[in-house]
Amino acid sequence: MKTINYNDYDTIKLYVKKSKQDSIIRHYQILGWQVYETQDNNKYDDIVDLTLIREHKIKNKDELQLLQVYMEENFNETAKLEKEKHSKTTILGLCFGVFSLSLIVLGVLTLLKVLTLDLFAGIALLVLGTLIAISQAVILPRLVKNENAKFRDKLKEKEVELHLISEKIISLTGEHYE
Amino acid sequence: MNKGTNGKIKTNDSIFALKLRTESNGLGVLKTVIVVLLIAIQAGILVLAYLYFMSVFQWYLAFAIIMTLITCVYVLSSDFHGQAKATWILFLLTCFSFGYVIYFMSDKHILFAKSRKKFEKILKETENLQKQIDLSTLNEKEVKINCDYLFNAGKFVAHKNTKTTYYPTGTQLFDSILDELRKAQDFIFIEFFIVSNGVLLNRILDILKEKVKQNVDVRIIYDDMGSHRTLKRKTKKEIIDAGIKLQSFNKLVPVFNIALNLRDHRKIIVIDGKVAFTGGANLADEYVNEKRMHGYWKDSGIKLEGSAVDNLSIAFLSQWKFITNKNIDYKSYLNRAESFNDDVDDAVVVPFVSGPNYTFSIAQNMYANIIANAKEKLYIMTPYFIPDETLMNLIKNKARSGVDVRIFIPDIADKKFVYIVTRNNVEKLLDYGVKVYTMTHSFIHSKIILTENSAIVGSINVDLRSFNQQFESAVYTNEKSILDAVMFDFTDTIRYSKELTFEDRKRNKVSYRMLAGLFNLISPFM
Repeated sequence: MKTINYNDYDTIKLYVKKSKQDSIIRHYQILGWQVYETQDNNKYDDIVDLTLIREHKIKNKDELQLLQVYMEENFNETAKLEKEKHSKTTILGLCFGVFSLSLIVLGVLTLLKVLTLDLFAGIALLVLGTLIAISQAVILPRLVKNENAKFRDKLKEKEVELHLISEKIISLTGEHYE
Repeated sequence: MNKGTNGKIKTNDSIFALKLRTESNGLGVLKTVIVVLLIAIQAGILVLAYLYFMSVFQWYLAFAIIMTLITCVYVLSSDFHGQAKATWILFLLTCFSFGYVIYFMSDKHILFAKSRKKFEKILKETENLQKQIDLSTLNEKEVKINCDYLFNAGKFVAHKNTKTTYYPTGTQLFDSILDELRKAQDFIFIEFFIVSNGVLLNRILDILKEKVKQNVDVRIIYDDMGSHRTLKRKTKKEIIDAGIKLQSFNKLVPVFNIALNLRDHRKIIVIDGKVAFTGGANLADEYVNEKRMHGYWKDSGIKLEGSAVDNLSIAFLSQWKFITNKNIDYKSYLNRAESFNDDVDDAVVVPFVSGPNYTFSIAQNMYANIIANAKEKLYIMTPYFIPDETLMNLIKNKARSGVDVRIFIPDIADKKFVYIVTRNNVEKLLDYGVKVYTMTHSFIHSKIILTENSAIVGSINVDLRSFNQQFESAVYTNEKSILDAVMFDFTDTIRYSKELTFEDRKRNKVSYRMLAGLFNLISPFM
């Protein structure tokens, strides 16, 4: 591989999620960056190492550098949103799931006389556990639905934001953007 | 860890979509750990020795109480500001058995005495090298007062014969530096807090090596604390082997010594005595946004062409003499600038330096002067905002008097605890009508202050470290083109900033407020 002339070209090296690679490259290209080298990351399966180059002296460089940061933040925030889309519901589901299951197991063990608790207590534990499990089964899908709606709104916001950033970049570079 | 068939880890959860590689960030971590560990061991031995001393000699308790009281009186009569005094006294009373020892060990007046004498000798040698210009023609009284102050405080002469250019970003600043370095014929002086391996240093070294071959005298001073994690030993050798004279300021040695806290935070480049640069940016890739540290890096700087360059030549050579102890023929490096038409307007340019080698803080006093004289507007851009009570009150009073006061700070912290104090301090100013802006997804590292008739561009942060413990460089000017350019930079920054509101302040958690209170207590030492 030829060494890059750092007096004439700027270089950035990126770790990029494979699933986002195309979109990220497309957005860097409108900033004037060109892919110089692509390599699989030697540690992580889902990461690709990219080396991008751009001419050192370009018009509106300061503003482009700032917009590049905004774009990078947008990509990371969007991916974070996707990753943490159902984090609250998952935690809630897990906590109540374990709790209701524990109550049901305790109730069954009491009914089977493995535990020396009162029979009524066993029934009560079983009923309570089942009720929690049922209510969870009713509530959780609604929560997931709410989370999905919120996620869609936030994602839309991020998309609009990214579009505006891209428009600004294009107005500075004149690059074509699809 | 979930490994795939190829032996690689399936997913990297720390990266959401992308991350810029910052390879040199971890340079010298081991060295830092070793130095910190050795210093901690020495501090521990000291404390243990004192505890042993106390248990063996019962009367030590009475001695310690008397010493603490004497130290408290000494602190109260010192020239520290109120908050620093209160913090020291609280420390002395809490740690009365050994606190006074720590205090005297960290007193720069005692510790720095020998170095200060050396500095005083150097200052004496240089004070008559330049003559002050006639300031009676200046229309603005405030500007004359500031020029007089700088001359009387540090013999910093005002210049009319100087062309200035302001750079609102590190990228523009260093591109101009590279262009000017290529033109050098006689000498190049470079002084930076951080010199870091990377593309920027490579670009500069390529030129410097070429210049050495052309018999240009190239000298570099770097701060050993600022650069020890970023500048490789191999690169230092490469620089020296190329014939460049390289010196480090205040070497980082693993010995418990509070003087290690006194750092060379200056950013100076002088070329042939004709062109000079100073500002906030260090010699590292993040300052030109070719490496990502804390979001977008906002910095600034100024170029001087003309006789004002001499002020920075003298400052560099003085520092060089302090480090090397070698005699310097200052005059051979001065009066080399081209002549510019100095009758155009009333503009003056005064490059100046500040540091613990002076008995008072020139940087802080200049900031105080400028703030006190603001009549219409007072704009400050700084990465850290930890002023003392006096500056804080001056700013509050200005805002209350109807002056348009605006403060610009980063949106991203480089040092979390310092940022908490900074945010806490600016949030207090909201009550007085001060407008505070945080530049989105960015780290503001510019150090600028602007009023309707004056500006300072340089390396001075609005914090007590910059004012009292660090060697700084800056340019004071009333030149209209610079005032306009700096003003444009402020208005342009607003486009990318968020204004801090009372609602933002209300959203602060109790734990955050408690932390801010605690950090505020120790802020005199930050």
